[in-house]
Amino acid sequence: MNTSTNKDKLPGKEDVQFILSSVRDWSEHMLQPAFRNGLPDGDRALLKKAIEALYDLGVIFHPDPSSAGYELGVWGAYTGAMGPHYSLRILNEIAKTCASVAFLVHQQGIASASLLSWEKGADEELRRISFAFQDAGGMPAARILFDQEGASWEAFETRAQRIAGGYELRGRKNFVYGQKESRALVVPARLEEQWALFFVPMNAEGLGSRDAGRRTGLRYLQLEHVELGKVRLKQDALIAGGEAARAIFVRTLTRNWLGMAAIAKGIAEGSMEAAGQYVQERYQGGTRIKNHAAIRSLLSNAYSKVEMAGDLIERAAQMHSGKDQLREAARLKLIVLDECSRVVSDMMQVFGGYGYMQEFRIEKRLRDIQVLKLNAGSPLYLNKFIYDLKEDSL
Amino acid sequence: MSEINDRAEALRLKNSSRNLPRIGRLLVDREADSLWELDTKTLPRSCRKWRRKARKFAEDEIRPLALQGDIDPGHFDHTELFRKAAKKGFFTTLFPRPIGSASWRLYLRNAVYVPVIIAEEFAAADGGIALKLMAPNLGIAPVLLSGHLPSILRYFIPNYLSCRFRGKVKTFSFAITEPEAGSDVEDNEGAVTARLGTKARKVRGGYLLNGSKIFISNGAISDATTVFAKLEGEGIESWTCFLVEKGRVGFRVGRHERKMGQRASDASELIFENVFVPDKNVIGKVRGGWPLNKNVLNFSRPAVASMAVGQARGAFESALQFAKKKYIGRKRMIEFQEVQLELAGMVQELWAARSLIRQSLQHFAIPQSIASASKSFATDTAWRVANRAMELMGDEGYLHSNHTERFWRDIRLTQIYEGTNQLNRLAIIEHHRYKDFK
Repeated sequence: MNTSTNKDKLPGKEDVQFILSSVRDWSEHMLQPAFRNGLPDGDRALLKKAIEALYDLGVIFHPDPSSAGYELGVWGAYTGAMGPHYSLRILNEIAKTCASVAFLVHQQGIASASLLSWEKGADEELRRISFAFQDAGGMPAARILFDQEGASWEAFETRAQRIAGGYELRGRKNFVYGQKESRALVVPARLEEQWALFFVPMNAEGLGSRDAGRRTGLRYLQLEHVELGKVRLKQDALIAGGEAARAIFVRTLTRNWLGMAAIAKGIAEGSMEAAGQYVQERYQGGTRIKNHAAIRSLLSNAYSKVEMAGDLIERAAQMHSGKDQLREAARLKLIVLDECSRVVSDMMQVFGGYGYMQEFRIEKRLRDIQVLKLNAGSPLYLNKFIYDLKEDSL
Repeated sequence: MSEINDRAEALRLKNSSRNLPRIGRLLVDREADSLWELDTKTLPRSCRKWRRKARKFAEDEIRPLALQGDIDPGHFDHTELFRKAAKKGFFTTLFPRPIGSASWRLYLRNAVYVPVIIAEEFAAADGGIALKLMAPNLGIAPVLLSGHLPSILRYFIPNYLSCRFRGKVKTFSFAITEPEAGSDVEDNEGAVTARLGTKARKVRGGYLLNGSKIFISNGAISDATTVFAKLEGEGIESWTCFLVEKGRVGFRVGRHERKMGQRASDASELIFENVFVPDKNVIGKVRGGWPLNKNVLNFSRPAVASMAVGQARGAFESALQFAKKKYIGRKRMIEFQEVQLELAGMVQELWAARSLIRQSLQHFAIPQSIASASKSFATDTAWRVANRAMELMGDEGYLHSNHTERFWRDIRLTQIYEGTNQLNRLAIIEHHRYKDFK
């Protein structure tokens, strides 16, 4: 697959502004109507249409150079040269209305980006792929990620072995987010004590998946546990091996956490906008509730927290990719998700009883951000992860 | 490693105390009791019995229905559950024997002692069903707390006797919140300028009620509702409590709210269109509604606090079970110190919140400040505990099948109803404004 990016062809500010304003229009005309029917998680048919429109707009990344989303899709081919700011802004914007759609765009982007160096090339099938971060035992530890002293590959459960004409994969991947009818998975595995990344079609023999069941939020997306029972793959299913595979994994994990932070900020901003409007209209104690100190305090705290989240995201986005940026992204996931979920909860408090009811959609935002906070690295895990990375540099 | 473990085991107080003199040994905790049992032993003797009975009922009857009540509240049939609860005396705890089922000794200490203890146990199994079972207390409380003998003789006592001895449950709901007046009707200052829409007009032999109430727990299933309305042409000072039975012409149930949690219990709109309410259905005195409402809230807030603690305990217990079963590498989660620190933090927070609630029960008439303090502190604490429980479980935490997320969703409402926690904090100051905060 062609991975070179010509700097002269890099999109300029105007292109970026154009896409951003297109996303805002799309959000107003296609995404928001999906929530006007009172369904707590939106009208699935309208959401599907809205997502198709995003493909057409070129906002969803597809690794085929001839596709609309190749250049300016979220986490698209130019991200390396442009930096992550652009993708983060798009995710932030979409999440103001619907975190599920933002997360879908994000997941598709990071999974597709991992295929940029793959020699086999992309086809239409790759419009729906997922990156499987977690083994059944959980997220990989920092010590494995960087082959630190004391690293235990024992904890890395998904293993690959060479067989005649290809590879055989065994293991389990849990909590894999994707779209309905996902076509393929990018699967990190341990191959002879080294990192390896494989492209695994969902119809591969030996691959089974089951729905993770009912959950708190991000309900538009499919969530599955995947069983890899002696999955046989051809030679060309290896996306990358050794150091290159590790680098892709680190980059993908970094982007995942950066993107989740941007989505969390978007959810918080969306809830603040809704609360801001509500306080202008709702009366209590003979005056609009915006005049009550308790409400002003909640809003003021929210503004400060979201501003802080924005600053932290900006700082992390400016760093060079690699270990430092990964640590920064982990911090971001830990702090921004926590602060932004508090913001959403506070905005629910502004709404009072109405906030708890599904039609006002604050409760959806609270459910969604809670799932984001726990997915792909809970606060407990991140604390340990950050410490392990920090300890290494001490 | 095994030797270290053996030596550490030998150092535990229950083992090493063998080296103490006999009397010294008697002063040592044998570590035989669970957290729950330790706490139960601090309760008055008759209350321990209630707590054990409530826990058994919660495990046997509530927990098995929890998922159904949450997923499909529209088809959740409470009839059998209510009948069983009535038989056990859970619906008649607001009055002592022989009319009610509470014990005299506890009752003289505090009228809601038993319901508050029961609330935690029920809620530890499911928040929505607990609300469904506890809300009838709130609905009938105005009749009792009005101190109006004719109302008590006409409505309270017959209902309690029929419930206690015939297992026939007549449920009451409590209706104060209006579309344009939520927190207003729970706060003195707000009430003065509240936009109250529910009005009563005096007519011959009674009153005509017009208006609507919203977010009424059990509103759709209640046989009677204690409705607060102002008299036409007057302000909140004229608020009066009316008892409106199901089936009165012009009285109907409007929309059922779709809630984030506590879904087994409906939150409904009640609509009054020229509903005739006879004079005998005025609870207490005409214009006596405001102090009655405030006092009902003072008694109910510790119960809400207790439900929140129960829900948080439910979240904690499911996280604890998870940590005991789940392996990370070759170790069970609970063996990691990080996990133990989190679990210990949750236990501490639950203890602190429960202690404040118990403190509120030391008063015969619960003061506004302590009722509000326990409600706001316990519900905020419960929210923190539920978040910690989910965080401990990672991705597993948000799966419905693990229960923790249901408790998390349920708890969030406790920070809002019975007055938002902001309003409850202000109520602490309001109460002592002319004494401590002058």
